[in-house]
Amino acid sequence: MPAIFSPEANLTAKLGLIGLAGLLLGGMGWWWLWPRTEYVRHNHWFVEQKVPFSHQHHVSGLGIDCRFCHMTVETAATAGMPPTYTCMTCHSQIWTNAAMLAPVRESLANNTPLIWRRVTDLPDYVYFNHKIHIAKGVGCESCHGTMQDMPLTQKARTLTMGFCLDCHRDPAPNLRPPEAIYNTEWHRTADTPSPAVLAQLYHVGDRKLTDCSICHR
Amino acid sequence: MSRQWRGLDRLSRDPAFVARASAEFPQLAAALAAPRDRRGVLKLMAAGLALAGLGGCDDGAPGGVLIPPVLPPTDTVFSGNQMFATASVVGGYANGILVRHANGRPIKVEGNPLHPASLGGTSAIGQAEILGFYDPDRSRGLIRKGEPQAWSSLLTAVAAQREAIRQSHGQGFRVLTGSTTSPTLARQIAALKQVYPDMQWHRWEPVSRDAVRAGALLAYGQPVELVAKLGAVDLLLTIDSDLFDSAPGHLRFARDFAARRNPTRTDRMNRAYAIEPTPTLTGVAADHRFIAGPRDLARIVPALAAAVTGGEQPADMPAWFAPLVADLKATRGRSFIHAGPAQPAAVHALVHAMNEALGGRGQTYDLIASVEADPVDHAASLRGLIDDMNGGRVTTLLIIDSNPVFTAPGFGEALGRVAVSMTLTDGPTETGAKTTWNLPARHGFEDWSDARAYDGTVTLLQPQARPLYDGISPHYLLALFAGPEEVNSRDVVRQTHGLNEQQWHDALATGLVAGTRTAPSDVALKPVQPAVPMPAAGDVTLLIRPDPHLLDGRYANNAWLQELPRPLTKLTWDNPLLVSPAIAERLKLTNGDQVTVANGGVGVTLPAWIMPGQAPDCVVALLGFGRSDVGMVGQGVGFDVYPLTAGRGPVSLHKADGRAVLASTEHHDPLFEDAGDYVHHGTPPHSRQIRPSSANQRSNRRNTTASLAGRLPGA
Repeated sequence: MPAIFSPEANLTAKLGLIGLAGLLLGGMGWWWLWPRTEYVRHNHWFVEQKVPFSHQHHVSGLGIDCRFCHMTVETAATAGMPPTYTCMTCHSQIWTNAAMLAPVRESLANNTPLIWRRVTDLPDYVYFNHKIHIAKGVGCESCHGTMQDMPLTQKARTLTMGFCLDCHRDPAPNLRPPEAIYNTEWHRTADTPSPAVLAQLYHVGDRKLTDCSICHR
Repeated sequence: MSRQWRGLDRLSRDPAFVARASAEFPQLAAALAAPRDRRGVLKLMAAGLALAGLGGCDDGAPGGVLIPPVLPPTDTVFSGNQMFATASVVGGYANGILVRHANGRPIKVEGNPLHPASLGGTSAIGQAEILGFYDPDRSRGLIRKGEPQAWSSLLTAVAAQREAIRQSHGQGFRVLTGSTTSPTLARQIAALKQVYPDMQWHRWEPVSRDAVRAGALLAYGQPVELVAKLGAVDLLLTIDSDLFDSAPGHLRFARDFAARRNPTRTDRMNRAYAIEPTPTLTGVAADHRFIAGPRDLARIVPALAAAVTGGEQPADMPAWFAPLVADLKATRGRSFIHAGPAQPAAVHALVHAMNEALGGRGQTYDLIASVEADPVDHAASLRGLIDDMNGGRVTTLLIIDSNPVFTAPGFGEALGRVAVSMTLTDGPTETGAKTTWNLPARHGFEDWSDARAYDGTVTLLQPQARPLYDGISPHYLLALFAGPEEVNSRDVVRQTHGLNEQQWHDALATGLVAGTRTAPSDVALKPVQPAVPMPAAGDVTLLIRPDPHLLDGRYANNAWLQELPRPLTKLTWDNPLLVSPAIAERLKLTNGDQVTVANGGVGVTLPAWIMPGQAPDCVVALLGFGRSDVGMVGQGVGFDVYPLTAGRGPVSLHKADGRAVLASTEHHDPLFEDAGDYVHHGTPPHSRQIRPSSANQRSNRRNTTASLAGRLPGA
């Protein structure tokens, strides 16, 4: 009786099985990795806006404090976007004819709000409150990145659940002294109180910050 | 043990109902019939978990836009949700509320935990006021004889009126309002009377508390009001009562009562008896509910009073009578009897006498001086006004927050004889359409005012937003009739209370003026034995009650209140005649059959709805529906039964042709008997068996031999 399989069949079968296992592992890896890539998370994507606002110019160039525009960051869940009026406090005096600023002038003249496309966004099932993070010593930079270096605003962190949990599991290293929260250039120095001291100062660690209901209410 | 059921056709397993219910959830009957399968349950749970995980996927792409305002609101820093205290005023009585704001707009009503009438609770009407505030049908401008007018024309017209009225000392000048407790409004009307000594202030509230007031007058000679202290009540007897659904302070009463119902929270559970012709929220909460029609009540209540106050043992009483009397006597000083506003004045007077005899005064209730400003008999007051109008003795009529053309038969015809009439109302009304002037009023959320709670606590109403439409406040209008200067309602309210800066601030922050609760009165009971009038005998007794949500019809344009199922009937958007099962059987009625009910010469044809637990001879007509001029939501919804209020018997009921389809949520999500009993019944010892851990907390339970508490419901 002639052999049913040729001598190469063993090799083919082995390769096939290894390939299948590889495909399966690769697929699982892809399934795990792909949503976490910077590409999918839209990190460092520029979002086209009507007015190409530069944080680099206003923050590091002019030294305007974050709270001048995002004025409810200490009092409310949302940091707040500046009313057109805030832009025009300066731009009624300087760059009054800049073409780039025409939508701002029109907004004030016609009493129609400026519409900004979101750069950072969290899903609706996540509760996030700016006020408590500021009150507990988390700097803007921890989530928003180096805004002072962005000519156009981009998302700097993945903002996945893993990103939030990394900090909620051990918040102390990400805490800053109160005076450094809005400081875009701040770095830990020898004089900075240790993370443990800061955690005690802000009373962080008394609550389990990884409870589901902390963020999913 | 009684088996629970929802709806009569569910109880009788009406084939049409079973078919309809099975068609609504075809899998449900099959699922309930199938044996419980652990593997299937686990599979479904796993699938549910996986799908929930998928639903949680976030593609990471930022979406949406941010729209900041062009100009920042002045003097405000946005800090998320904010709450401001004010009050929801129903029938003149205030219930403290907090209004939640988002971005400066009022969005939600909550109870005010600091307010004695609320303790953090709100009624359905209070909750729905936020929708009424945004109602696009609200009055938007000044109308005179159907023509829009400029505001200056009102000033001119009122100036002319002032001159004319002054010359006659206010002879033909009449003000008609609803029941009011507002100290500011009362002060302003008193000031008007100073200027025009011969003017008259009439009152008309269709959901009448006349009998309550008259009963207090009979018993005490003064219109004192009851303040129940249900926290201290061990035994509550209610007679056709509105204690938990619409009496002033009902939210507080329901909470106080409920606090003594949970055996794990109290070591002395209260006990409640209810005697009533038609089911009420108070009755269904009672341990023992006894059905008694108006004719039975007219016999039983005097007998009860004789037994409680005089120790007599009347013959020919129901079986429950003697144990009830024994229980009342055994709980001296810890019992309280309450009668509802539909009961005649004599019943109220007898209840006062019984409460005094049972020693509850000061313990389970207080009597306080009238909270209502200048209390009068509303029916007499309105009758006087209609007579004067017909007699041509009224020249100027000012109607504030009242709709007598709809709620008082005969008013509309008399109105034609008044030279100048003005209605101040925040939405279209039948009255506004007939008066010379229709003035747009501000909504309660746009205006300053005040009102008092059931216990007399002065409650401030503050604006929650700038007026959405042009409107004026009653305080502004009354001041305009008194003199030429235009006033600000905030100043008028503040003047009334004479608070300093700090007190005013605190009053606005808490919603009430501290320390304004009325002190208990020490008025003594008068030794009278009022006779309870016996209603005329007949096959059918007609009871006319306000709709639980629309009341007298003022909320008919509020879709939330229309849509909210009524307690017990679960009906929405309609007011069929509630007939007793006995009458339904006699006339061969099923739910939705058209019937004609007539009182005297006036008849109304409307669908019928069978109400289990209603006295055999009773039919109940609900007020508040059938508005003809109210806005796009309430226009023509239901049937106007106000014409029946004018009839003076005899009452007749006939089956008419046709059927109507009624929207009831009674059959939503049906549970078939395979699902088992879903409410557990038991006595306190029974609940001890269920929860042995808490048993020792109640070891010193009192035991009365005469008590009915040991009886199982339905036994």
